[in-house]
Amino acid sequence: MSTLKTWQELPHGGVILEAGSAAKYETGSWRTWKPITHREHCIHCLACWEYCPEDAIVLEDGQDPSGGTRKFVKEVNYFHCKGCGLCVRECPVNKEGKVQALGFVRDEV
Amino acid sequence: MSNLTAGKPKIVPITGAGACAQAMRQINPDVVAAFPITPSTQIVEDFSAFVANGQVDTEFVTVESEHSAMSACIGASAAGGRVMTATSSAGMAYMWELLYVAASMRQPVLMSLVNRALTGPINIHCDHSDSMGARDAGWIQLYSETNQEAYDNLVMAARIAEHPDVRLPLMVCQDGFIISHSIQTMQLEDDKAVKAFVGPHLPYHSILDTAKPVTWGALDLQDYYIEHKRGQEQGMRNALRVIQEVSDDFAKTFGRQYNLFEDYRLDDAEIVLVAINSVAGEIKEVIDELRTKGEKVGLLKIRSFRPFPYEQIGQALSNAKIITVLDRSASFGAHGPLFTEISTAVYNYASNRPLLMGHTFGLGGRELTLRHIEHVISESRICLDKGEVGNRQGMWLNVRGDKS
Amino acid sequence: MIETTPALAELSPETKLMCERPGTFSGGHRMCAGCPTGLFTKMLTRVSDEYEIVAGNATGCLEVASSIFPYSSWQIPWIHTAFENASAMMSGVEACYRSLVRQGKMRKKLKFVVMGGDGGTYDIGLQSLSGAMERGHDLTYICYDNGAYMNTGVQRSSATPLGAATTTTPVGSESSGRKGNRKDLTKIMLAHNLGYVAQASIHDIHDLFRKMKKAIDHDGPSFINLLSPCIPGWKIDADMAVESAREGVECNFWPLFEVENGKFTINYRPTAKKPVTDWVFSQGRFKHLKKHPEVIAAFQAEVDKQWAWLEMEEARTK
Repeated sequence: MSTLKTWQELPHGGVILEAGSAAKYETGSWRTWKPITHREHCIHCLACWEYCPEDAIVLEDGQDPSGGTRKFVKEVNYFHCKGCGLCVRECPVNKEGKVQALGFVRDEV
Repeated sequence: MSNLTAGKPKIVPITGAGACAQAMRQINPDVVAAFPITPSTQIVEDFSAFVANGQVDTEFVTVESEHSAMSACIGASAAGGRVMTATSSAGMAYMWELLYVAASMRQPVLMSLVNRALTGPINIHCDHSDSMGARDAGWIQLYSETNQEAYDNLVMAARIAEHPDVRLPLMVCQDGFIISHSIQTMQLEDDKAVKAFVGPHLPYHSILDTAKPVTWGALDLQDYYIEHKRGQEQGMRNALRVIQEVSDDFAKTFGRQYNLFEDYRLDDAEIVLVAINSVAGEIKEVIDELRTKGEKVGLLKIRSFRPFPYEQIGQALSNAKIITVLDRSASFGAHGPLFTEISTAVYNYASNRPLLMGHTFGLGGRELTLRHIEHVISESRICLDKGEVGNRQGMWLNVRGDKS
Repeated sequence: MIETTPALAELSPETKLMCERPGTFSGGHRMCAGCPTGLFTKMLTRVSDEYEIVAGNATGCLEVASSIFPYSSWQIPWIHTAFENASAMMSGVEACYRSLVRQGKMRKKLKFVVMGGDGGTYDIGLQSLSGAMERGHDLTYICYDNGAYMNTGVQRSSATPLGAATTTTPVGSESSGRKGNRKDLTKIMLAHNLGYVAQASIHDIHDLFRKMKKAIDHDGPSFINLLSPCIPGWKIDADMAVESAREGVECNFWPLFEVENGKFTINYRPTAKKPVTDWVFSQGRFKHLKKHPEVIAAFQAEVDKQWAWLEMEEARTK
């Protein structure tokens, strides 16, 4: 059965009442390559999070060595990640060229 | 009338534009955004003085164009405000794109439109090419014969436009110069009575409500556009009922009864003229004169052109034998907009088949005198006697040159 | 517990603030892969927690791709009506806010942001932008300048740089791309004597964060011109938007500067002056210029002239 609403069911004027409803829309299917986190090399500088146009880098709270809390990179949200590779290119660990904190691999179809 | 609830009104001499400015002061909108254009300028000039003197709570946005005026009005309306503007002619034409946006976003923006010819050649005087061109924009259009009607329509406008079953923008039209600049005496109602009648504005999903963030003006693709347009159409259909309800309440409060149209000596009329705005006054005078001679003539004056009350008008014209429609605008290569609506109403809803004739008059402020109206009626009589309209169809009245 | 073998990076004050605050712009929008507009939009609410943001958008890529009914990426109140009127529309929103505050019907502190591309800002929206800025509304206008009408398929705008190939300035036997230099909108906005005007680039998020905060904090109109590369329009790879913006700044095509109450500050000086060719030839839209050294020379001369002007203004207003 169609989930599309009838004209009577719609609020007036085309207004969208649910903030951020696009989060339900999958753009991950656009991807041909995907970033993968290598947490053993990650310095959690959050550059990938800052540069991700899709807000697809998921952070989590954790403790720094001095006992304070801070954000850490947790994972990539593949429901939204379009595989542009910006995070991989801008990762400062990757830029040093020794190891990769973010890999970039062919996505499975 | 003794059972009126309003406070004491004043009888004042005032121009049509001045009367609308007074209505705006009494309505006290949250935002007015307007740009000066003749002949609507006095409305915003007077209103500016009310702002300057602290007589209103309004934020007056002195925009750099009418396009921005309508844009600001839509923004302010989406922000939960009661919003008004005033314009004419090319000013409204410059708003064109946003007229549609206001209607499709269901923003009950109120406009005082002073009808003026559209440019080509430039002309500042009255005709209805501006509002008639905008008839498909999705705005409610109420027309006004006199200063009093322009004022009364504006006092009723907010309650019609903002009604939850309607939620559509509304323009109150009056004839440029003929009404906007002519001083007539009229009844200016008590400020408090108007305020009480108009009531508070109830925002609909305000963009300022950060606790419930909404998205206004999203893109519709093939899967939703037509559903939204169907909903918009329903607002217009509901407006027919709401206009009458608000008008009836206005009559109870202030004593002047308005309907979707005015039937003037229509009951037994064989020849019926149909017209809009100020020319109705002259037509009434001619009708009164001819009635003393036993001529069965009447007038149907449109108040609500959008929505158009087809059924009621068709029924009201059921006894007519010939209907002559006077359009103060031209739809080049077609009959006038009022004529086509009347034809539709009569064809579908009148119980007889009267002759139908349409003429164009008054473009760019060209006068239509009592003598011209008498001529129109005598021509209608000739057609009625012959049983056909023939080559009298589609005349341009009071134009120099041979009829061809 | 998170395993952290390498040393943890020190977070900048900007990053610390940003990552603790809720975002503005959810994923699931339909901008092209690698389009960097999402970088500044998701930051709108992260620049300060002293007020809430209400945003308006001109028609364009960002508007279309972020609000396809019934999906919206916007987690804040957001409105769009047309292409050319975003500033006027938001003038109305802001005017209504002021009226409601004055009437005691509104108590929250709200700030208003307007967004548009270069088409909706430099060109069709310039009049309404100028009017809104001149009237003094409390609006921050952020123009994301990608140098053409990208939403309709890469037609030239008045922001299109000299020599760029677009679909309305195609390369041909009689054409080497866009003729003449781009309009300098930042200077036009300076002529409005605004309290805050800045140029920023999508590659320097921390500089952008500071500028957005200053602009939005500022009571009254403010303007940010933001260099925001377009993947298909500039003909670059999907991961190259940030790098391309960086190179645009490094070669002085897009200087980072701000003007606060008339005082100029150049925020970044390239350590070694780079020719524009590095940047230009990294993009497909300019590749034909290899055969047109005279256009490259004119491009370089214009960049040098504008940089000299900027240094002069900075010295003048010290």
